[in-house]
Amino acid sequence: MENQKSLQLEKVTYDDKIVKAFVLAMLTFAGVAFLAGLLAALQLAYWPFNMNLEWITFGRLRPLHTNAAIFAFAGNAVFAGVYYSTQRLCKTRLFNDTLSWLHFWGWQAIILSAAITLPLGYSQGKEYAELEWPIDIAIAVIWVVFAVNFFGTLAKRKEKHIYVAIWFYIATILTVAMLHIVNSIEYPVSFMKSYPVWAGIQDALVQWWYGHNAVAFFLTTPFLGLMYYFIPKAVNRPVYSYRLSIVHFWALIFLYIWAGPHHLLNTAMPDWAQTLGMVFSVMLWAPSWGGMINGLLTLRGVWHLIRTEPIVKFLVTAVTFYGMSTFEGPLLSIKSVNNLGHYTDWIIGHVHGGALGWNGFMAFGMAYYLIPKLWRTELHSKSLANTHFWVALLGILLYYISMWASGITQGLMWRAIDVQGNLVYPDFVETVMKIVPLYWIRALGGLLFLIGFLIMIYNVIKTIQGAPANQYDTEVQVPVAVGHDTHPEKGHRKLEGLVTVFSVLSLIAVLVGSVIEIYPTLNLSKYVKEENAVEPYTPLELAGRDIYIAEGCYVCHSQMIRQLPGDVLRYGKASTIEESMYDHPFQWGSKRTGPDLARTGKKYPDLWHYRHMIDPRAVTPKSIMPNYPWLADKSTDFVGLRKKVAVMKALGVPYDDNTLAQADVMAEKQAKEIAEGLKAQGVTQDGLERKQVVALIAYLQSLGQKGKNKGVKDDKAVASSL
Amino acid sequence: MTKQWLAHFNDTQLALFGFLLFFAVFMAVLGWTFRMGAQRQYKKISELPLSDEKNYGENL
Repeated sequence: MENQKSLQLEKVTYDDKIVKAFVLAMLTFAGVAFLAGLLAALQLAYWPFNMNLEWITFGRLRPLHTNAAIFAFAGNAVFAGVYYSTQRLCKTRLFNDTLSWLHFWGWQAIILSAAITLPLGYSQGKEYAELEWPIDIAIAVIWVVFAVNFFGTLAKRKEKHIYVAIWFYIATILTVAMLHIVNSIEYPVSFMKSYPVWAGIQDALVQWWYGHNAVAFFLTTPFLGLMYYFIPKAVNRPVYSYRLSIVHFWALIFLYIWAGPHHLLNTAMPDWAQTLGMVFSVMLWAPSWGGMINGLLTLRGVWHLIRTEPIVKFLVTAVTFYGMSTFEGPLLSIKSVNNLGHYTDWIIGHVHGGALGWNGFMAFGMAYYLIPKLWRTELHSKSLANTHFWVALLGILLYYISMWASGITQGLMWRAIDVQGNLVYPDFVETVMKIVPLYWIRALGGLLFLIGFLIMIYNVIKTIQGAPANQYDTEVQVPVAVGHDTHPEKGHRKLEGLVTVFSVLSLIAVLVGSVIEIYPTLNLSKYVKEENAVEPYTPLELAGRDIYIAEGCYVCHSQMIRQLPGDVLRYGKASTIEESMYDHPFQWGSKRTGPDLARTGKKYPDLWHYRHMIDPRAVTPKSIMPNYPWLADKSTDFVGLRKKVAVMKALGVPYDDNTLAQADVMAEKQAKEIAEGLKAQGVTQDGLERKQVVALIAYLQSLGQKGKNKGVKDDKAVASSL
Repeated sequence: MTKQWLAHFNDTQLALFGFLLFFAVFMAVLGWTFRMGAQRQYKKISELPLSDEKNYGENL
């Protein structure tokens, strides 16, 4: 009976065309991401590279770079790998060709939308979630298309068992959907403008729950799935320990989701949430390294392949970088280490170790494996692939090491206090000048990485040119019931055969941490002391805030004075939860290329800000900030302010009826007062009161000036008491 | 009612509950994974990527 069963064969044609399309899209957008990254690195080393062009100024280019790297390069790599491996592991063609192509073109359209809107300044001001609401909806729709196509493929699979790689894909699809939807709940103001429903600390927690887990479930779990598939394929050995892969999977997805608050250590966030984030981040060491060890030990007995096979070189080095990044991440999550590293280039180095080393090399290794197979030819040149490897590796090392040095240097300088209790380096720009040479080294590292990639592109073009003209999809004959035997399945074997149950359990694993982390903070009144409540922004300040967000000021300036002596001495009293309670979105930031701005209001006169925006070096000679001359040319949208205020009120900001009805009139009045002040100090410009620079000045002057903390600048005693 | 309950919730205990839940889940997964007799099956599954382009028709 069993023999008869195994003789029943069925022809299966895998859809290789869609995989080819995603591979080519991955390579195309990799070029865009790397080029944007290199230009951004050069802008930080030498500010004139901003070229006085608003569309490519650092604040707008950096979101373009991160979105291109994450969603275009890594995203297309994931889709290529998932579609290739899932068909083969399930021994069936993808569920639906139309869905496959809808997924492909839909995703490329989203990327194109991002490439157009981000340089134009359409941004929500939330890292890795900058895209505006119509694009957010498109992402959700296309992700559902992907999910239906993927789960449909699992449903019609001819292999009973679900291999571990597919578990990681399942966790990715479910969790990314949850993260994206919750973090993108926003209230549209107009076609390309919205405000998130979350505010202040809520928004901070939701954003970093999303942001951290975008790294976890978009850049880690799917790539771990690819690791569990492509390393065994490349070395022709099964994974070292299947048992370890099970423990790795469940421990990793359960723990990862809790770690978001480590992005907010020493801030105004409640201590319990900080400690929770730190503890779970440290615990992540174990499953992460379990996965790394499992990947590396798959090479048992064939280590020599690292010498001879460029694919293996890339894959193994990628896993090594995964190990380094997942060691460094928990290390940076320890509060005392975070004191030093947070807001510095150490974080940038850490991120790029993961993005270039882990994601980049894994994608390159996969592409070198897939391209000859898909185009049914041999790789044009192994030696060029080897050259790519060494050039890119050197590039990453230069990048990584320079950013470590830069981050630790800046962290130490920021907190250096002399015996009298004064800051040793009170001028922020002093700490910037110290690290500019390291920015040049970083740019060199990026250039080498890009050169390596261009070598790969040449190699790929030659490989495809040498492919036979007759291209066809892979066709195999498989038994109708491969893996199905007459014995009832038990335990995890049974569980993994039940896709729905498995998916629900995975979702529960990520939901538990999410709910515990976020739900209590939704009850904001528990943390906000009424006596510390602040008043909302005036309509003009709100308009200025939108300009601040559109220009991407948050990518270089934080608005969160940490509870650390160095921060308090430099910037004033530590920020409180109440001060950002009406901030939709929060702007605490994650990097200080420039100083913190939480209490910058009234620190300088309006004229200083005006001159600073037009030419930062006019007031801070060695500043690396770009010029923003267009702010003095472009007009503020006064007409749209009533709608904006109405939306803010609907979100819970206590604007009175008069402000609601007179928002534009009030804004124009305040703008006129500021403009007259500037004119009295010598600024000669017609219609100044209608220009964006005035609205931005109004916003900057309001920072730290709301509520009872108005104008507070602490002395040394406050700092030393921390 | 919910708001009142949340307002008086001890968040430290919530975090501790999460930690203990993870520990319980982890021990359960560990026990399940390393149960007797599973190794043979795992060996079979772990070889799936190595046979995924095998053309069974060629062996007939």
